[in-house]
Amino acid sequence: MHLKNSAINRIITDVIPFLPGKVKLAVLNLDKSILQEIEEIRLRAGKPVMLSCFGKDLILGEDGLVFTNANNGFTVTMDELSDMVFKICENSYYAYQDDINKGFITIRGGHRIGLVGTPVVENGRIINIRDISSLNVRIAREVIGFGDRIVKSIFKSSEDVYNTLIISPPGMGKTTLLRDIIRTVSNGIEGIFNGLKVGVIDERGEIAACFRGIPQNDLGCRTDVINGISKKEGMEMLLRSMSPGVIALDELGNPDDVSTVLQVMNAGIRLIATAHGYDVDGLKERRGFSELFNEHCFERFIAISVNNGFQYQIKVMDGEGNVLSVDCKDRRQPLNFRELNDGRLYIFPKAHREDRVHQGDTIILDGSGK
Amino acid sequence: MDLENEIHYMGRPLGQALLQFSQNRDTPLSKFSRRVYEISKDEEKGIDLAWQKCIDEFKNYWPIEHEEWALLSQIGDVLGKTDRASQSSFIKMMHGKFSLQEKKAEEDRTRKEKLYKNLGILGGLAIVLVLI
Repeated sequence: MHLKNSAINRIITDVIPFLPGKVKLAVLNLDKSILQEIEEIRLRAGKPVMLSCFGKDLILGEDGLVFTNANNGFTVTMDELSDMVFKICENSYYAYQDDINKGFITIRGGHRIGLVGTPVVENGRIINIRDISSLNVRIAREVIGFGDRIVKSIFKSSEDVYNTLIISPPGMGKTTLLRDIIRTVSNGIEGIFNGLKVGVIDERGEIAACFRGIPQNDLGCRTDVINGISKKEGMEMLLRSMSPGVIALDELGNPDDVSTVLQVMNAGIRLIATAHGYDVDGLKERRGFSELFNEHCFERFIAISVNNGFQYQIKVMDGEGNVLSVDCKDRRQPLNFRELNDGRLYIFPKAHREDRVHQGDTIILDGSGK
Repeated sequence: MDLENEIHYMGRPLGQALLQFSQNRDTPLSKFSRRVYEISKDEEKGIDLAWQKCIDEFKNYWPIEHEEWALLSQIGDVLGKTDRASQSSFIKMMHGKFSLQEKKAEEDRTRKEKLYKNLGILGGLAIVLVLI
């Protein structure tokens, strides 16, 4: 398993240029071990700047040290947040107005900036968000190979796949898994699977992470992406125009989508989708799914859960709910992550951890960023 | 395609819209647009600051009045800061104001032409009278 690009490089080139001056300096001074593991940078007007890292909230100090005590942090102003948003919008609010109204903007590299403030509403529709008070910079990470071990279980033959639903609670990596499956289905695997044309409907810009129309994530050579459109409209467009073998989409579950999903399946197109949930049974009674279950639409279920605190469990089941395989992976949080001490982080990485975290000998990081 | 179309229909961010507008044209305004884009890109300035800097650069080359410079400066302050519809109507409004200025300048020129013509005739008569 490897990252497509260095996580640190991506943060430095894609994210840091937009940050307010003192946040930029502090982030650049962070220990590289922390910098490469940042999941979110939280900026709230008048509140300490925070990082989400290793599943914990860390307070960012001006000198790049991190703390658990909010008193050691520094704050940003509403004007700084407003300037940051204008910069993210490339000095052009109009070009990003729809994104602002939806509450997030995707930037180069697929990173997402969530924003909240006071929505301006006209005829029941949000037409702008003013007085932006909080920004959440979510760092995108493409984990190539995340689904390698289970993707073969959705191959029906060398030229066909099963209709598949990936189920997991939020934040467990179902979009990451979907992305990896799309890439493999699109590219194919020599001698095993020939590869199919995949149409992706990326309603929220999380799968392909398009920036100016270009997918920032690798989704394979036979993939067409429709960006920023509802799943229903997207499926209809793909059906009409792109003759896909597979349609992939994130977060199925809107009752309005059911008829189009059935239409897609009746047209002989396979569907690979994700859904928020904990297990198959929980979805069966939910509106937007019950009709699909009644029609026996899905032939494979992939359920992601967390086992023993820090281990992913990826379970593959057939359409009847029989378990076909179970795959376990370490989560990104180090098993022996130590508490912060005086703004410095001490990590003793385990040798078997994934290669995007330190491997090999024990490393003691002293806060110097080296 | 003019700047309004680039913004309203294509929805391009301002830098891209200015660059697109400047391509395949060789007019003073296209040169101005390209320069704004270059300043913004090279000096990592916002478009509004790049616009003002560009005005300062072009002041020595364009023989236009103070009022027109003020209008141009106003455009730089507003571009990019509202939604598409407002940008569109702002550009239309500024276009109207520039047309008015152009008309005024034209009238001014005609009036001055007449004046200089009359002055020429009177000057000629005066010379004839002196010579006689």
